[in-house]
Amino acid sequence: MMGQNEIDNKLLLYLLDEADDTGRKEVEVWLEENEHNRAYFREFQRVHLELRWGVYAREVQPDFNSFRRKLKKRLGMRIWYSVAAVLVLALSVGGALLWHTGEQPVQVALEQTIQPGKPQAVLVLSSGEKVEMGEIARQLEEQDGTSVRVSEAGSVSYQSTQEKEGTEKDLGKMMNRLLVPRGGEFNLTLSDGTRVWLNAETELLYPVRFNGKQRVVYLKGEAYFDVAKNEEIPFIVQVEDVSVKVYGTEFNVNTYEGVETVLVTGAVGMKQGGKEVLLKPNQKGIFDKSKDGIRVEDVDVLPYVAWKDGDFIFRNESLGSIMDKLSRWYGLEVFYQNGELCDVHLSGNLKRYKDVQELFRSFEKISDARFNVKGNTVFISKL
Amino acid sequence: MRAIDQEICALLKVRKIGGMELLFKEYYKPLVVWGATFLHDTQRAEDVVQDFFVKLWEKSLADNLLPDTLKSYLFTSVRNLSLNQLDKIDPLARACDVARYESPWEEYDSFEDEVFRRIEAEIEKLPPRTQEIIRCVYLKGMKYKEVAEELGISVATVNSLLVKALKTLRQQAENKDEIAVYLFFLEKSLLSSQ
Repeated sequence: MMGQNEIDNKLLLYLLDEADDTGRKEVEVWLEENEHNRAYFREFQRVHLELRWGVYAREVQPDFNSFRRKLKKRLGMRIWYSVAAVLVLALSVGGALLWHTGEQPVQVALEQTIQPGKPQAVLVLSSGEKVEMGEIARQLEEQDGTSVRVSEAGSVSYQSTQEKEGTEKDLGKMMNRLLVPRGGEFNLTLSDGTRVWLNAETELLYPVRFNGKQRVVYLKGEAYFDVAKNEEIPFIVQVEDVSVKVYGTEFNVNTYEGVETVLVTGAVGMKQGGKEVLLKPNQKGIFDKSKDGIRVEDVDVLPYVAWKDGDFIFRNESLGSIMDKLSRWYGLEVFYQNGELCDVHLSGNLKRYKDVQELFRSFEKISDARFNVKGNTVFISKL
Repeated sequence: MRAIDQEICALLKVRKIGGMELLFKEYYKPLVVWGATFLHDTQRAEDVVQDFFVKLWEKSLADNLLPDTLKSYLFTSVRNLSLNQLDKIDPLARACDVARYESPWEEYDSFEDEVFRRIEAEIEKLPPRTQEIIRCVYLKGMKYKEVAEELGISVATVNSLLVKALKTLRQQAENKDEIAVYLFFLEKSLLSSQ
């Protein structure tokens, strides 16, 4: 019989596939001999496997951060970006609620269902003072005596007094800023009587009172303007280097992606890089940084302006764009199983203050997109 | 049921990245080693495990995870994925190699970091030359002949040094009473084979 060393030698050659035909046969015959040999082989095999495991284990350096980057890359930047944004917002909203109520913080923390937005904004006065505006009425006064009235219905209006006419030159450049967060909306009446509806995630910079030859406001986000008529002093909405010049009219400007102006009534001109394009009612002007110049399209204006009357109306709109709009209002995190889903085109209506899941259910009936909601997170997958 | 498995499942269900981090910390290394058992390649095994984790996250597969079966689910999945991968690389390899490992070692219950740490420590105690041979054979997948040429020793020496290393490991295992665990599984497999 073979000694233990000899057996071990042959078994290892066998396991590593280093044995020649004779060696292999020898081992197989030996294994056939009795159960004791087979048991010995199993133990030998186990220790051999353990050695391999040890060698492998020494090679593996787990690095979660690099895996996380890989995950990020695979799922697309956009998702992670929106997670980050929502987290920040959720924290700040949660904090504010706790601070205001103070009594039952536990319930606030547990609230996890999807909630529609509500009238909320921050007003930055010319002094730099920040005023939180929710559903409480209040009366403020600017440095030039202009009264700023905040109503409980989520609107703010400016009423110029003529008393301090003499100081007008110094105070002429006083600007206010209205910031509407994600999940918010607000109405504004400017000192000239122009009414502005601001959608979620929107910022408007405007003078407390208009002076000079033009009425200029600066917009980021989406707003609907009903401009007070004044043919001598044109009203201009400035978005970076694009200006929308108004000649007494109602229109919607959206800057979420490029600059998009939809005209309801009247006439506006869109100007960029020295070129001006005139829009007629029921037309949309689009300026996209990646392309040159302003494109004009005929459109049904309703889906573009319905938000101001409390509706979401989507007409053959890409799911990506629909979810962007819903996210701004409902504060959603959206995950797509794959990127193609963003390009599925869908139609549907929803009241802005209703449960967004109604809309998801109707989308599921007309498409193979499936919506899985957990807390504020929506996973969209393909059937 | 382990508390850590419970936590991993709970966090993954609500898609918290913390759940992924915990899963990674607890299972990444054992799963890679497990995958490499079939693939004979740690890099490939890392790819398999990472792809599997990405899919877990991406496809909300985690929704159906149960703490009780998490461990077996992970190990079974990685084993199957590794074998599929192996079929792609070398369809014959599986037929003549893996069949041997469908034995008691399927029980990955003792597949813990602790076991690795012990074996890693044992390997470090081996003579440098033996360590070199081990690296060449198990990591680089070199044949004895190539190892012998590279290190300037005979093929027989390569084999006998490895056998010696295995003997040391076996003795250590016996000292650590792990043989009891082994015998338990052995008994089980004997009973089931009858």
